[in-house]
Amino acid sequence: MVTKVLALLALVLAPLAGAQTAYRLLQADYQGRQIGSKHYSADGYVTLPRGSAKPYKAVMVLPVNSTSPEALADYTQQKSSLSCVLLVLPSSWDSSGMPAADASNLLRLEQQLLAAPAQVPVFFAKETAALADAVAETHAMFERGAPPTLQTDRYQLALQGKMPTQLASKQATNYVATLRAADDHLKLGVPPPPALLLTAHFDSFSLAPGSPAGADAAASGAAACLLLLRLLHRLYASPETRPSRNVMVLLTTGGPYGQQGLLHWAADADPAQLEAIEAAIVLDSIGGSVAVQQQAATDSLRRQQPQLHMHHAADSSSSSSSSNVAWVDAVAAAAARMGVQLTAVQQEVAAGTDAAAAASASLGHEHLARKGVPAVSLSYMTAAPVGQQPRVSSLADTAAAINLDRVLDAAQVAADAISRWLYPQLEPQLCLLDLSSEPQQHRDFLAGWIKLLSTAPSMMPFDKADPGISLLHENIFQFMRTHSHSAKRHMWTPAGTPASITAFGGTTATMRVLKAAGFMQDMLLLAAVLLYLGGLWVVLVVATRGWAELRAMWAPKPATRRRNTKGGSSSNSSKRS
Amino acid sequence: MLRVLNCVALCIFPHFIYYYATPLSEYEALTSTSYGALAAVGTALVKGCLTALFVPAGSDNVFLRVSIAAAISGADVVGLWYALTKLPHRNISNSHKFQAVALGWAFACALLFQLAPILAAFLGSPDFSFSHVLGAVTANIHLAHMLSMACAGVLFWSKRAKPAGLLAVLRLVVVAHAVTPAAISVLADLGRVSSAQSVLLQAGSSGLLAACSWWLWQQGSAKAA
Repeated sequence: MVTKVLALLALVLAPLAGAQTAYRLLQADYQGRQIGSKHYSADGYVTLPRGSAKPYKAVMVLPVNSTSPEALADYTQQKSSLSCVLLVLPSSWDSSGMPAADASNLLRLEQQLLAAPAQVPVFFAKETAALADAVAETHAMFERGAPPTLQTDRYQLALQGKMPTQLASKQATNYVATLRAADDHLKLGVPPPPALLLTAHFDSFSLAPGSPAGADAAASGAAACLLLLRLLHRLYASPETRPSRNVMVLLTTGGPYGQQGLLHWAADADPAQLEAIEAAIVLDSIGGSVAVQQQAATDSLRRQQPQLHMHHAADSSSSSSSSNVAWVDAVAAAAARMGVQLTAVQQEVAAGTDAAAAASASLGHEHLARKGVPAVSLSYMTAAPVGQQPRVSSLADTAAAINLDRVLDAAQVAADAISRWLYPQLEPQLCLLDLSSEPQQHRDFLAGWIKLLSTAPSMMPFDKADPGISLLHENIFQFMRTHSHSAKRHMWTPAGTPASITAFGGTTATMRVLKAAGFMQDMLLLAAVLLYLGGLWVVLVVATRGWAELRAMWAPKPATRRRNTKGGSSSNSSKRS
Repeated sequence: MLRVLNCVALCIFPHFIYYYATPLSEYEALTSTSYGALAAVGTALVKGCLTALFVPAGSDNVFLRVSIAAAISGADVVGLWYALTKLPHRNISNSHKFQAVALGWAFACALLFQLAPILAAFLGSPDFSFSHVLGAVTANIHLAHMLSMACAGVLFWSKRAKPAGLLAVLRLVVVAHAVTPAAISVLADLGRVSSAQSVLLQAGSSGLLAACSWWLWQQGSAKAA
């Protein structure tokens, strides 16, 4: 009895108890393609995938490591009486990364969700002790032959999210910082000195935008760019070391959508400035994480140790092929000097319209190659993910899964190639990123930026009213402005956006695990209701009529004299006599 | 089944208790109560039609939706005014007339907006949800809100005898009575508060407004004396 009372009290007081964050499946991408349900809240009792029934008002809890894509499709592809589907991520998900097998299965589940719109709300949540208890006890109920229903003792999940908002602006933003050579006076008619472009995209496409994902796919490259910008700024700050060439650091958006941000920047750039770019390095997915590794095309590639790849284009234009080859050789030589194993991957870049280019490109060097810029993409991806639009960052791609050593390897290769390009005649050569001094500082810098870039909402288009998004953009811009001679925002509009876009707000929900009692709760509720109604009666009578009236209601009525039917009443006969 | 009965009892029994526990039953105010209930039903129908006609379905423009809904909720004031002034009431005092109309209005709203969903859910499936218990609790809060609004309404009706300072407070309280439910509804619609928090907010605001109405009644009675 006492435990039931406490359970009822716990149910009542549960809103005051601890809660955890759940992440809602994306409702639609920026082109309006439906992916998840529009419902941003759900509640129901916990049940598990035992049997083929779809219980009414239940939350189907599916662990990602043991759920097949077919089972997930079965629960999400048809409208049903389920309240929602909750995909449970391992408890090590955001602290130490997911095991490869779990990451691989999660990727398959995400591909299933992307393949067809979900008809029921889908949420992701990390496994916590409360959730594990709920699942374990629900398992036990099934084992006992008494599956949970709303009438029986069971666990309830309540997910409360916020309504998504409509975006006011469809524009996306690139950020470009320029370190100018000593003799770059920006005079009209005077061609700018040679320039090198270092670029990465900092946005990612995740099926649960509220979750801290996209660390490898986006944050790793952007963080390395910012690290190199900081180091290069030191060179440019001193007149003795200031090079005679320019460096541009460009952080773009639209990366998962065929590198649209880079495409638009290249299209909008000053032709003289574009022509001055002699070399470009694109950093993309350089974290060496399990999540990216599992996206490889074959099992053998997935099982391999992550290896840095240099993707470049075989340009059919003969005038630029020699400079392209020279730059590819320079980067390969830099890798050899740094002791980093580098595999060159050559892929022909087809000529075509910009729209077709955006549809087919998945690594940034392709757009630059079309403009005649010698460019390479450094990545731990073994091959460019061709044909995927948008390129999905798995939920397994968290900051915890990043290998900072691999990021530093790629950054060292880029740094060495850049410094040799800046100072071609200098001997002994400058070591721009020296890991023997300040190693921890570099690691902390990268870790901090990777965490910020992956935990802040970073999906295009951006809801500028979201404080997380505006803070991220402000941080990026201020850093670039502080560490360069000029920093600018480049605004562009993604192609194919509909007239109105629902932003990705409502991407998180507060989830509470509640233990609810069944019949006893109803009996206690009945007692409470009767007590309340009785108390209400007493209060109203006393307030409006007074205590006397209340006492009169309960006072026994005086006994009435029985009427004598034969001789009339005894009192009347006594009066007459 | 037991939970349905609990919810039904919690939803509508307080209205009967109020009618029979207070002197309303002695004044045979059933007619006025019925008028209030009918006015509530009629107003709900009109508001439903206006909402269907003018509120843009599926619109993500929150401000537009909220503005139109707020304007439509002004129909409540019209409905109450009609029930109080245009329908033939028995010869009872203003105080009892206002109470009876408010009670009838609250009863009709409880039937339409709390009891009907409870019964529909029960008929649709034997499963039930704690949210229906919250709905029944909301019916009680709405009853208290309507009665406290009736109290303020009575004072406002006979405002000629009141001092200016008290009138200003009275106007503020009447406006607060009218606006508070809509504001809480908007907050719940926007997802800023959960359903349980919404009920707590309604209870708190109704309690506060009831206390204000009671204080005003005391002040008004003292000034009249």
